[in-house]
Order: sequence, then C-alpha cells, then structure tokens
Amino acid sequence: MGNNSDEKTKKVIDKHYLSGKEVRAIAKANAKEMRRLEKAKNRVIPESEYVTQMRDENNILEIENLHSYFFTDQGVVKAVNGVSFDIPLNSTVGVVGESGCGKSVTSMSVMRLLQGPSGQIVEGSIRFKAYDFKVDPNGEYIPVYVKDEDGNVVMEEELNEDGTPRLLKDGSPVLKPKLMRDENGMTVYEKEEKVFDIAKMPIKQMYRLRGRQMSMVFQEPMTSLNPIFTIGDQLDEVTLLHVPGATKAMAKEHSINMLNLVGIAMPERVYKSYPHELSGGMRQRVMIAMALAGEPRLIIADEPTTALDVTIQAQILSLFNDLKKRINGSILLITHDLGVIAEMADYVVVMYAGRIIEKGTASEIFHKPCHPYTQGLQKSKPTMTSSEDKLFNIPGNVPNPINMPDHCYFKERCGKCLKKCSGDYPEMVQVSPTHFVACHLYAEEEKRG
Amino acid sequence: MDNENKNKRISSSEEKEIAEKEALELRLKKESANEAAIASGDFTDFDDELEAEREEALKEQVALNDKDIEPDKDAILEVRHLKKYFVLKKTILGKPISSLRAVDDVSFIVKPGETLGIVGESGCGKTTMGRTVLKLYQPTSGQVFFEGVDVAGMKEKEMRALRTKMQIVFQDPYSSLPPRSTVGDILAEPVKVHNIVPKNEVKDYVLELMESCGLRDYYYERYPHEFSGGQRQRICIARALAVKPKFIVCDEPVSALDVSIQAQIINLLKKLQIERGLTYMFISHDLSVVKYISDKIGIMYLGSMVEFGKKQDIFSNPLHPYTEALFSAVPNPNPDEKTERIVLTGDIPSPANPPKGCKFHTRCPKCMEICKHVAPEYKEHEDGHFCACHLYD
Repeated sequence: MGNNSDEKTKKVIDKHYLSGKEVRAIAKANAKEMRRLEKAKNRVIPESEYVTQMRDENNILEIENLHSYFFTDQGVVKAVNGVSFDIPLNSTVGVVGESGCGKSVTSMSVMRLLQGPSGQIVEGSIRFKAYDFKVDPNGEYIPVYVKDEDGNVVMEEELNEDGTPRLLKDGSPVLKPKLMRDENGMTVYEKEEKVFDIAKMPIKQMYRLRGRQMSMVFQEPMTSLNPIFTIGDQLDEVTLLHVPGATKAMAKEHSINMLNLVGIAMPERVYKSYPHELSGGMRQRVMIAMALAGEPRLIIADEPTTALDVTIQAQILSLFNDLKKRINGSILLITHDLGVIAEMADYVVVMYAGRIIEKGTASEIFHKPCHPYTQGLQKSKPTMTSSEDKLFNIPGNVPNPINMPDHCYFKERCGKCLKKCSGDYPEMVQVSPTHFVACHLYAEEEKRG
Repeated sequence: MDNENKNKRISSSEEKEIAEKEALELRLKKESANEAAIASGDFTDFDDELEAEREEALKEQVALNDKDIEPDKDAILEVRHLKKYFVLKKTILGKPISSLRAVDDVSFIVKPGETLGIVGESGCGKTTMGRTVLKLYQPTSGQVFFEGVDVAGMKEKEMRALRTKMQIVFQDPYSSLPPRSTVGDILAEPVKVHNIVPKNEVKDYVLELMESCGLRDYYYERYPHEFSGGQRQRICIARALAVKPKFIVCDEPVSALDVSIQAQIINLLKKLQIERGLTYMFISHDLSVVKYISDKIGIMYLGSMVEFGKKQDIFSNPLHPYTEALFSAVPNPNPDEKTERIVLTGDIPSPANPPKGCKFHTRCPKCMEICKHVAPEYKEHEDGHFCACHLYD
C-alpha cells in the first residue's frame, strides 16, 4: 500500500476542515452564482444566439472545453473540468473511467439533465447537428406537398366528413394541395439540418432535441421505468409527443414494432405488462426500445449493462451493435468495463477526476496505451487469458473532488512521475493523428523529437 | 340390516383394494413406458410428473445412503446433498404448498488452503449457498461437515464456538458496517466476544490486524462513512479476520468496487491467504476475477451445481454448455479480436417454477429431446471434474 498517498489523504482531510462560518460563506457565494446560472437557463433568447456551425461536418456532436460544476456547501465540485471530444457520424465513442470521474455528468450535460440548481454547466459548448422540423414564423411545422414531374404541386379534392367531395356553389370541387404521407399514413413535414449549441440553449427548447434527436439509456432499468404505468403507456408517450399528428393506434403499432426490433419475444404481452413483471434484461430492452422510439440520431448509453449478468450483457451488447447499423446513428457509450469498450467502441475517451487524460481509436488505446493511468487500468483487470501471479494495482484513491491540486491529478498514484509533474497540469499532447494524451512524459518526448 | 351393512363395508374395502391395485399397475406401466421412452429416445407419451417424482425419490435415497459415510479427513469443508428451500405458500396448518428451491442438492469438497470459486448469474443461489454453509440460513436438508463435524445439525449455542473458525465478507461494504461505531469498536467487538486475546491486549491486537489489512493506525477512531469503498471492504476483511478464522466465505467482495480498487482487494485477499493459511469460498459473477483467485471452480445454475472441478480443467475443457456460454459472454478486451460468441437467448427461469428435465434446456444451444424430460445426473467425468449434462452420457 502506498504510504505516501495515505498520509497525503490525512493531510488533505485536515486541510479541508471547514468551520460553520466558512460553510455559510461558501453557501452564500454559491447561491449567487447558482441564481445567475438558473436565470440564464430560463431566459427567452432568439434562435440565432444558439444556432452555430460545426467545426467538422462529419461529426454529429462536438464537445468543447465543457465545465460542469456542482455547487455544494463544502465547495465547488468540478465534476467535468474542461472536457473536449467529438462523436463522428455512425460511430461508437466509449467513455471509460472510475466512478466519480465525471463520465455520467458529461452525458447528463449533453442531455441538459443536470440536477439544478446545484448542478450547472458553467462554461464550454456542446454542438449538436440536429435534423429538425422546419418552423414557419407562426411556430408551425411546414408540410411537404406532393409534386408532379414538372415540379408543380399536385392538387386534390377536399372531402367532407362523410367522404363526399366538398363542392363550391357552382358545383366545382374545392381543391387543396396534396400532402405527402409516409407508409404509416403520417403527414411528412419539411426538415432541415441545424447545429445547436446545447450549452447555450434555453432549457425549454431542449424538448426539440430530447427523445427526437438524441436519447438516453440509463444505468438501472429497475429505477428508470415508471412502476405505475404499463410498458405500452410509457412507450406510446414517446411517439405521441414526438411525432406530430400521431394517433393512439399508430403509437401502439410503432411501440410494438420497437419492442420487436429490440428482440422481445412476445411484444403484445410485454406491451400490456408492468415493469415489475419483467426481468432485468427485458427491462433494459424496453429502455432501449423507448430510446429508439423517437428515431434519434444519437443514443447515449450510460452504463447500460452494469446492472446485468454476463449472459444478458452479451445479449444487450450484440443488440446495440445490430441497432447501430440499422438506425444509422451514433452511440455514446459510458462504462467502467474495459472489455465492453473494446467490444463496442470505435473511439475511446479515458477520463480521470473530471478531465480527459487520453483519447484515441480503440486499437490505439488498447494496444498502445500512453497514460500511466490507462496502462494501470488495463493491467489491474484480470482477464480470461492472463495468468500473472500478482495483479498490478494502482495505489491509493481518486483525489478529493473539492479543491483539486494544481499539478497532474494522477501524480500521487503514478509510478512514472517526473520532476515536471509537480508543476502545471499537463497539456494534451498529440501522439498520432488520432491519439492524444495529457501527460508530461510525452511532452518531453515531443520536444526531443 | 346388519348383514347388509357388513356386505357394503366389505364390498367398499374390496373396491378400494382393487382401485389401489389398478393404480399401482397403471403406475408401474407408466414407469416402464417412461424407461422405454428414455431408452428409445421417443418422448411422445412421456409422463413428466412421474419422472420428476422418480428423480426426487432417487435423490432422497442417495442422500440417505450417503448419510452414514464418514466425512473426508483431508477436507476442511464437505457439503453433501445440501438443500435450502424457501417456503412461498403455506396451508392454514403451516404445511408448505410451494417453495423456492434456492439450493437444490449441491455437493462438493474443499481442502484446506484452497480457494473455491462459485460462479453463476444473479438468482442462481450462490449467495444462499454461501450463507447456508455458514448456517446463517438453516439448511432444509443435507449435511455440511466442517473439519469433520456436521454443522447442519448443530444447535445455535454449539455453533457459537465454531463461528470463530468460519467467517464471511459481505458484498456491499456500504451497508455491512455499523454507521455508529468507530473502526476500532467494529474490529474489537468480535475479539472481546470470543476472548481471542486478553482484554488489555485487545487494542494492540486490533492495530496489528489493521496494519496487516493495509489500514493506517489513525483510522482507529474514524467512522465508516469517512472511508471510500475500497477502504471499507478492507475493514470488512479485517473484521472477518479478527477471530482468527480458518475458512472465509467471500460473497462478491469486489463487485461494488472500481477496477483499480478491485485489484488492491484481490491482492490483499491473496496475501492474507498465504500468510494465514486461509481457505476461501469466493462467490462472484465475474469470471475473470474467479479465474484469477480460485483453485477449484463450481458453476451454478438455478440452484444446482452444473459443473465443478479444478480451474485448469474447467477453463481448458469446459464440459457443460452453460459454462461454455458463460466463458464466451465475457467481453474480450482486445478490440481487434472479434470472437464468435454463444449468445444465450432468453432469461434465467424463475427458481420457484424451474423447467422440467434439465433446468438449462430452455436456453441451451445443444438441447436434445431427452433434456426436456429427464434431469441429467451430476457425476464425475474426469478425475475431479464433475458435470451434469446428457451430452456426456
């Protein structure tokens, strides 16, 4: 056991003793800051203020310098402290890290689901490319009309309630432009691609994105489903909310299709049952069906298999791989299991204490891990093929999230410390075109090279 | 009048006899038909209920036959035909109608200094078995020999002395420590209760114990809430070790911890085993951890042991299809190797209403006709490698 780290913990805890007076001072300062941020969240601002451009057209989500803080009476917890990464179209990005490293808070920030007023996005931008309905000046959706070969709008007779054509006084039928309808008989509305900065978006506008453009699969299917409504009710709600003009019958059909899609054997029966009647794996499938019902382009899966058994986990993971191809979307997968990441992800982001310490493609992270933490994490996990006598372990614990040190957060637990490590927090260093690492070891190398 | 009544009585008793005879004949007929069906492999008219009854009777007979055999002298723990049923419904007189078979006829032997890993999905009865072995649950039937003494039949008072020899580390370090006691109190209590050391030496003993578990001496005055998950699990391990046990049941000790902390705890458990010559029963659902720490492995499914053997045997040559599926379900931390995996369809059935025949047949990729009707026998296939599957009959 690292003696150093334990003595350090003692000191840190002693240093962090707060008197009642200090706590009140912190609470007062926090209250002011929280009020300001809450106001900004609820402001009504014109769309032009939060519509931006993507840096790279091939990305669906770009997170840049994101800071999400929690204002507690002990001090400000910088749960996400300057995180930047991109999610390219049609790919899976995995975020790995220990509990408390800020991976879930990152995903919650993307959905703007941080629990206010204490949890707030303080700084940074989250750019998301949405494929949203076009809106006319009155705030109504613009329908698509059927056009003939010459590009003229096709007209059709307007019908009365009894099905007979409505006639003008002179006997000629009333004509109206013919609406385009999809295979379900739903009106098709005009859509356009727009880039929103989620961090600046008023919270009331988020309903345009949540569910329809991006959706989330939560960690615990037991607590995320509402116990007093049937699965059908909860699934239908998604369709009724997000598809304009949807009827109950249509919603039911759509829900049952979704249940089929996620591999539930008897969708009609599951549709009528309550969450407690299903097993853990089934509930997680229902959660995934619910996330897919709005046909989103980005799915955020926050530890989707942590609460499940290995055999059920294998089922859910193969389902995700299947779905990615079918819905033509991207997945942001958050987990602490390196095995799951290796199976699923194209790109991997490793987080530690609120910051990204390494990011790159999956094979780069798994075959050439650069950061001592990533290396330690891989060595400390026993695998089915390994046969060492003693497991490698990273000594010590994650530092206290309040009052983080100025130097590298991993310094106390690191076995490869340099003199420089006591200095500033290391910058991101580019090791290869796609591989970045925040460690002084590589900054030195780059200089020499 | 009397005569008539007498005649009636005679005739009714005769009728009864005849009816019984007929029933017996029918039963024998059915039994022979069942046997013929098993032999021929044609299960069209198979009587599943009768087969279940026959298997139950057979199990009881075997258990009865084994009852008087002397326990293995080399073993620290020998479990024979252990059963633990939880009663779900009772009649008004308290007679059980339906029960949940959490542990159903499990037998195995653990030698001193070994680690037995128990693997299975949630709800397969592995935790219940761990607790029943320690007699935290009263076994429904079966025998548990600890150092040659049958624990299952013991009274609570007699158990008390034995408790110093067998201990448990629970899964969740957040809920298994009393929040109102300091670490010193928590660790000193078992020492005082069992008179492990003289009273004036208790504090020194506890401090020594804390050091061997990687806890600093100034933690003595602290409360559990001041610690992280890994440190709490160290306290739980120290508490179990305080009474100098020989055998410890580790019930998912690392499942609630982060990967880097997991490695610390596993290394600690290994170190203590070598230092103190402990025997572990390590219950976990994480196969890679079990593989790392165990010498022998038992794989459970719906209350029964489906495979048991040495680690090398089980990993190099898994016999049961469930074991194979479990192994292939473990995610491979190499992104370039895409392995073909056996994905089991469906969920684990309810142990209150297990499927007929082999319990695994509903999800088995290699299911045969016989599996749906006849439960496979749990027997030794290689030296020390047990398995219950029809594939190897």
